[in-house]
Amino acid sequence: MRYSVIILLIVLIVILGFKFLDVESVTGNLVNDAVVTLTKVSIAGIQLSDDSIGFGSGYVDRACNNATVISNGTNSCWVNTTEYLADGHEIINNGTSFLNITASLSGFTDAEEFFCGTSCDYTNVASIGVYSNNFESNSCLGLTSDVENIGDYNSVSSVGICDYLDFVDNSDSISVYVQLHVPIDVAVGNKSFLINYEASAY
Amino acid sequence: MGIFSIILVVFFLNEFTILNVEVYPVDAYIVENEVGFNLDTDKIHFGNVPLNSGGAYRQMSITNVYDEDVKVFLSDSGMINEFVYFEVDGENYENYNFVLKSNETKDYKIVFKNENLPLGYYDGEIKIVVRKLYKFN
Repeated sequence: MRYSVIILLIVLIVILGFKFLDVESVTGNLVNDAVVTLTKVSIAGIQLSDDSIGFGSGYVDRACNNATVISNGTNSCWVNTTEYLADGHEIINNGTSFLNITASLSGFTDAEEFFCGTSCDYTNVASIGVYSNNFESNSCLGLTSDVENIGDYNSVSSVGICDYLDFVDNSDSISVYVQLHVPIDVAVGNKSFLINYEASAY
Repeated sequence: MGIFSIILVVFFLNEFTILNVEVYPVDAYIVENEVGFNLDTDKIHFGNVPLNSGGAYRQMSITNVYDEDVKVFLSDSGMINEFVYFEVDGENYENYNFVLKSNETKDYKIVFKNENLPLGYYDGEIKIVVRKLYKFN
């Protein structure tokens, strides 16, 4: 019984000690949201496979040393063995602030690696590019001026596809199309890559 | 009596070392074929994530504004629980805790993997607990 009382006293002393420590150290500091603040959560990313843009099957015309295949349905020096339809990635602003949107290639160090795996004779023309359009009119200020490469034969880059994406309904979405420069010595087989779309709020 | 006292000690140690608790609702829509961003601050929105895409993430940073080192515990719960993890310095964690020095900032990502998830709305919570870091010399 005596030991229990002693233990209980120790417990009370410890509790009071911690209570005292707590009050002393927090005074003037403990403000809600002071440590973690949602306003810093201003960047979001979504990865999208080019599976959602099906290029079908085909090969580079033997008269050329590379082909251009664009997801808007056009191509040159490309011989389709299965049809592919015009398709793009639709990006929409569901929030209430202007967004800056970028695109980058994920999972490869350059386009040559994607097409060939290692260095091949003609893969110095390899590239993966994107360009953007308004899906709904007046949605974006600062679309890509032309096709911009997210990957070329020896590097990858982050590309700005929309500087200011509006949030007003019916004017808040863009389309992104993908362009491939396929070298003639591309490695045979099914290929896919991820595009990382990242948004930051103003 | 002894056991009761120990339980009391553990309970109070636990309670009195908490400096701050933040709970943020999170949500995501899995949709057919559209990338949708929502950076409003009412929730941590993953936005519209296309079916079977590579997933979505939100970048976060946390700063220790206290004059002392703290320990931070990150966890998630709810419907979204098994599809969310924390990515810190390239490593993935279901729950993550770390020591944050005074005035130090740590960046991390909250990642939502939607592999094999059907279309629909998913939600849950991210909990951030900040505790005192006691040093017993």
